Amino acid sequence: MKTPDTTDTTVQDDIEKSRMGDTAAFARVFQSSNGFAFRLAFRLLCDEDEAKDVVQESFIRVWRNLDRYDRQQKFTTWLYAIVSNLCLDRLRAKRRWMARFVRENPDNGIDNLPVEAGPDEQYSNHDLARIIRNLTQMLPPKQRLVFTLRDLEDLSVEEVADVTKMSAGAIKVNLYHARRTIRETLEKNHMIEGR
Amino acid sequence: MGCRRYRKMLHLNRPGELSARDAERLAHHLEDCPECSAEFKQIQMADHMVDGLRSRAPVFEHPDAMLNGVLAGIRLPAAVRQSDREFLGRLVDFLLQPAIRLGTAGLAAVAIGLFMFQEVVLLNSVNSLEAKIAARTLPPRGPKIGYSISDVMAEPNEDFRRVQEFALPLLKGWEKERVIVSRRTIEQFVAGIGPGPAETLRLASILGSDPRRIESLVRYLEQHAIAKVVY
Repeated sequence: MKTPDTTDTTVQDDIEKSRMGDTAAFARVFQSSNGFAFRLAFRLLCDEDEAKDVVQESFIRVWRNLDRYDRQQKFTTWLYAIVSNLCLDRLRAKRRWMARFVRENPDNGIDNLPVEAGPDEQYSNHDLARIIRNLTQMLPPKQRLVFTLRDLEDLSVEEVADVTKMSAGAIKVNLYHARRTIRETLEKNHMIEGR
Repeated sequence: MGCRRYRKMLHLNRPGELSARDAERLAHHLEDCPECSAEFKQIQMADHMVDGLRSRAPVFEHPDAMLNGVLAGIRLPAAVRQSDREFLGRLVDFLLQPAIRLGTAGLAAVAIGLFMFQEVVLLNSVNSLEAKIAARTLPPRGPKIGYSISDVMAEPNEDFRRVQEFALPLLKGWEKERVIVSRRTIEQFVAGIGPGPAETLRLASILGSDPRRIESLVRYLEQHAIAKVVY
């Protein structure tokens, strides 16, 4: 699942019109890109309402900073970066409370993540948020971001670097630690066999 | 390259994460090392579970409602949309940095130490002052009254003669043929008189602790003294 390609002239035209103050054009930009913005925010924050708040705030920031948008850069990359930064701020604020929660609930198990679930099986947003949260709650914000962009959003390492402004080496280091932690979480909760 | 290095590579097993050279080396190593190969299978199981998550996207309901919110938001001034929570969040993050926390704790310790030191110095000063006050001899209360007694008695009186004998070395003043006896002298006399009718006075508390007896003697002296001098 790669970042949607918004280099087609329609979207770029709408962005240019938005820059001139055309709210109808901006509404079309919103409609073409709100889906993956919400998906990223949801997977990072694991809360539907918070994700919606971040998406709304992100598009307002896009509008206010259209003058700074570089046409050489993919619009979706820029939007991903705005969404990621807003989510990071919230994750860092929540991390203090989550650390205490995890210490006080060391045996908090995670829900079963079905391995062989069929493609037709759907999960509610609530269940999906719970599953992702259980898997990633131990990760520091930066590792969580890199893991989500790479492994859940399926961005390439280069795209992750463009979004996060991190080097490829730093991304790989964070990926390594995130994946190792997630694997240990799965082993600890008997989701996979340990060694 | 040992197993430890290869095991780190196992976690970077998706396309584009290892260089072509490292990927080839890893592949060869897995063929020869059953332990690393077993661990790689564990990692693949974990990856499979994560793949299940990737294929499931959350449902974004009512995007039109959010669009209305966005359009309303972009019409507001930027200052109104400034997120106070972001600023507070960053401020709290800054204050919770280890160096800031240590510095704050250090400053608090220094402030407490200075306060305690100040308290100790103040207490010592108070104690010193109290000691000085306790060591001071308080002057007798009330006016000083002296009784002038004659060195020649009209009628012989053994007690009075003893008062006179006692008082002579303790004269507060000498005025012609008068002997001025101060109240303090009388108190001292009460403390040190010899046997006789006044002996019971000696049994009283010393230096004014039995005012009734002193007053009794004073009245006696008043009756026999030539003059009463207040000074």
